[in-house]
Amino acid sequence: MRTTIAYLYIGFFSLLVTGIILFYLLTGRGEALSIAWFLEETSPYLWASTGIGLCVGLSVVGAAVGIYTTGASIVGGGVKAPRIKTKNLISVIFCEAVAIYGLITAIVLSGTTALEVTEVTDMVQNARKMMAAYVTFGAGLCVGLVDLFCGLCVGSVGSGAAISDAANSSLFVKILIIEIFASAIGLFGLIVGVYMTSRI
Amino acid sequence: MVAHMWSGSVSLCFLLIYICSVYSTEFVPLFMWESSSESHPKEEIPALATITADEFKDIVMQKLQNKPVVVIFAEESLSVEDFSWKDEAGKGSFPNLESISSESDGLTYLPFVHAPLHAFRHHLPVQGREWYNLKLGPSSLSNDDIALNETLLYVNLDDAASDEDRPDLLKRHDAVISKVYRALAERHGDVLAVYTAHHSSWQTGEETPTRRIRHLLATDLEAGDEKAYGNNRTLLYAPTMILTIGQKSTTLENGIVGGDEDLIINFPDNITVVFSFENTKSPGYWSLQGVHVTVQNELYNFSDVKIGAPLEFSYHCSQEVVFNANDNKLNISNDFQIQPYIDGRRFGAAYDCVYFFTVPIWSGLFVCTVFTIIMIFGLGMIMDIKTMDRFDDPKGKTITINVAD
Repeated sequence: MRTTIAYLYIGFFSLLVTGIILFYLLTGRGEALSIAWFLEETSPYLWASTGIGLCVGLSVVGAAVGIYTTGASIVGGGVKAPRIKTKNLISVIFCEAVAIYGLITAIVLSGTTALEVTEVTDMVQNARKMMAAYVTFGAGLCVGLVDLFCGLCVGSVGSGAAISDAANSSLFVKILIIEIFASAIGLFGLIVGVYMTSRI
Repeated sequence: MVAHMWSGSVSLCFLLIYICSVYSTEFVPLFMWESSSESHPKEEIPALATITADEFKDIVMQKLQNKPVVVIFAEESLSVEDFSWKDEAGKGSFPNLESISSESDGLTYLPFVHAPLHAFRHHLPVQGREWYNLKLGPSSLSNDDIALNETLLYVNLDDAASDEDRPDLLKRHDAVISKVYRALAERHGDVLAVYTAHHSSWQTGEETPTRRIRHLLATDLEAGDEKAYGNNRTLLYAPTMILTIGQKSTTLENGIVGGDEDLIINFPDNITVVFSFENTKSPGYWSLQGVHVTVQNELYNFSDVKIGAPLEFSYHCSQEVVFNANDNKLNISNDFQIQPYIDGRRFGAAYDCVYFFTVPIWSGLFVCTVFTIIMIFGLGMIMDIKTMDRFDDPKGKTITINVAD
C-alpha cells in the first residue's frame, strides 16, 4: 500500500509536469519556463526561512530516530542486564547533541535574518540580499542533512553498544570510540554551516 | 498469447463500433435552389427535423421529375452554424448565396440530412446520365469550359489554404458557387443547384478570438477604427491613450501612423508619439526601448519600460499600462497589445504582463512540495509501526479490570 501511494504521487506529479512542459514547448514559448526567472524573482525570505526550518527540522528528525533506536535497545537489554542502563545513556546524550547543533545553527541564522520594510532598488544591494538568503538556505540545508544522517548513525551504533554491553561489559568502551567518530560527523556539518554564515 | 490477441481484437471491435456509431449519427445541412420560374408546391418541413436517407431520396426524386440540370457543390464539411455565423459587422459568410436565394425559386433548406451525397450518387444515374466530377481550385471555371455542357455536375470544393480561416474559406467557395451557377443558368433553362457537404463540421467557423491571438486583419478594421495602429512592421492595439504632462491631461485619438520599425503616430494638436524598439540586446527577443512623446516641439522620454517578448510573440496586458517619467505619464488602459518586427498583419500569440504561474504561486508550490515529501516519509513510518502481538491469544481469557467504587 505504501508503494501504491508513492507511485500515485510520483505518477501524478510527473504527468502534470510533463503536460505543462509539453504545452510550453510545443507552443513555442519554452523559454517562459525559466529556472533563472524563478531564482531571481522569488523572495529571499523564502529561501532564508526554508533554510532555517530545514536546519532545525532535519537535525531533530535525525536525533529523534537515533534516540528511538538507542532507547529501545537500552530498555530491551536492561531487562536481563540492568547494569547497562546508566552507562548507555551516554549514547542518548550523543544523539541529543546532534539536535542541539541544529538548534544553535537555526538560532544563529535567525539572528541574521531580519525583515526590511523598504523596497530595494539598488542592484548591488539586491545582490547582497539574495546572496544572504541563499547562504542561509545552504547553511540550514547543510546542517540539517548532515545532522540527520549523523543522528541515524549514532543511534544505530548506540543500539549496538547497548546490546553488546549487555552481553559482555568490556565491549562498551571500545564501541564508544566508534560512536565518537560518528558524532564528529555532526560537528563537521556545524562547522561548515557556521563558516558559511560568517560571510553574510 | 491467445488472451493478448483476443483482447486486441475486442478493443478493435469496440473501436469500429464507436466509429460506426459516430458515422451513423452524422447529419449535414443541405441547401437546394432552382433557376426555373415554375413555382413548385412544397410541403412544410420542420426546421429541426432530421431527414434520413430514404426521406431525402423521396424529396430528391420529386425535385428531379422535370429532369433539370443538376449541379452539386460538395464541401468537405459544413454545419448549421456555418450558415448562421456572422462577423462583428453583422455579415454572414454567404453574401452571394443570399442574393441568389432571394431571386430564385424552389428553395429548400434541410438542416440535418443523413448522407445526402450518397443519395445523389446512388439514385441519379438511374436515368441514364452519368456524373461529371470536378474539383475546383482557387481559379474557377471559365465561361466556355466543357464542364458547363454536362447535365450532371458534381463539384468538389477545395480545402482551405494554410492561412485561411473558415469564414474566408466559405466566402471564397460562395463566390465560386455563384459564378458556376450563373454560368450554368445562362446556358441551360432549368438548373437545380445543391450545396452540401461530406461531413458535418463541428466548428462554428473561427472561434471568438482567444486571449492569446488577436486578429488585426484589414477586413476587421473599419476605416474609423481608432483603437489599432499599424505600420508595415509594427502593430499596436491601444483602446484609450491618455497623456498627462504636468497638470494637463489629453486623450490621444485619431492618430495617423507612420514610420518603419519604430511606430510613429501623429495626433492632432501637434502631438507625436514614437514607440522605439530594439532586438539586439537579447537575441531572439524584442523589447520596447522607450516611448518618445513630442508635444509642440517639446520632447518627453519615457525610458523606464519593461515591455518585451520573444520575436513572433506579442505583449499583452489587460491591466492599465503606465509609462512614467518625473511627473509626466502616458496611460494606456485596458487590453494593450503591441508587437514589432511582424511580417503579416496579425498579432502573434501573446505574452501577458501577468504570468499564469506567478512568483507567489511558484513559491507556494515549492514549499508545499517539500512539505508533501516530508509528510509521505512520516506516513510511511507510521504505517511501519506494528503493535506487539506476541502474547495475543484469541482463545485465552480476556483481561478484566475491577473498578473499585
